[in-house]
Amino acid sequence: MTTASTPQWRTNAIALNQGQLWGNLALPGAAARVTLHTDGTPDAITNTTAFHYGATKAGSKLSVKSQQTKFYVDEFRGPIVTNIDQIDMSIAGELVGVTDMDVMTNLLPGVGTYATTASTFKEIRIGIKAITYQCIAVIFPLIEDTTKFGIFNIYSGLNDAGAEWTQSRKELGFTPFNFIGYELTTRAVTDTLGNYWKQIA
Amino acid sequence: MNANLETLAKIHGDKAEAAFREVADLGGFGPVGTAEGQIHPSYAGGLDVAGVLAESNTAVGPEAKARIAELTGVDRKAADALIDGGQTTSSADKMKKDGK
Repeated sequence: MTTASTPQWRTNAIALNQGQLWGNLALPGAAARVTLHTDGTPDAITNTTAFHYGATKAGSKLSVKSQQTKFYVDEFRGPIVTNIDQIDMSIAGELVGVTDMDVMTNLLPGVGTYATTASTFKEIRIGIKAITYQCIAVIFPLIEDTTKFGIFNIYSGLNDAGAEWTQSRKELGFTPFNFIGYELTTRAVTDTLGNYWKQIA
Repeated sequence: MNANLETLAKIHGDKAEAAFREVADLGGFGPVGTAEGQIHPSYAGGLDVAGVLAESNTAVGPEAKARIAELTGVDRKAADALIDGGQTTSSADKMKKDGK
């Protein structure tokens, strides 16, 4: 005598909504998360320097990947054990705000230095400076309840895609970004790179 | 609700970096330093202190919370109201207000 298992189609858990890319967020501590306002933006009291990167060409690709090394023994043909020897967490896409010097400076860590003179110019000077990591997140309304939000958060990230765009009359200029997560090595071992979470209440 | 060198310097003067390190350590934020894998002491984004001070955060002990509140000058009841009471402020509204 058998018993049916209940299918769970999870069609409410799909990703089909625009996200917002935010940087320079306050780093959350142990068992804490980025503090959000009800509109899905970072809370401005705790995230005093929160920076919105603006529109993307086609959204953001959110990724967590581990590299597993398989080990074999002579007596068996299949792997008998594995080891995770690499973890990568990233947020990638293309930004259209290429003439926004704040955006471009944030995309050029260790290279770009912002400078301005009130009402005259804004510029990025290119050279060498200290690398600055930033807490970065993509925040998006959930399909299951659009008053609630999902967040993909890298605690300490750096754009490694540089900046490049086509200045043209015939196509929209955009610059790629690829924020890579770097481990904060003495945090709890289960929580060194970032988190992915959603509001449920 | 945010601890960074600038806010801590107002309370601790030239000992702000030591305070920053202690807050980061007690709150489980990670190591502070200038090497890879560390939180740069001058990171402008700072540390979200409210999240670790909230009553709902059980990963940080009461003594650590008390010390973090003391170091940062943050009112624990206000932190609780922010995290567990939802008394937050929109960054979108702030950016409009700041003209950014």
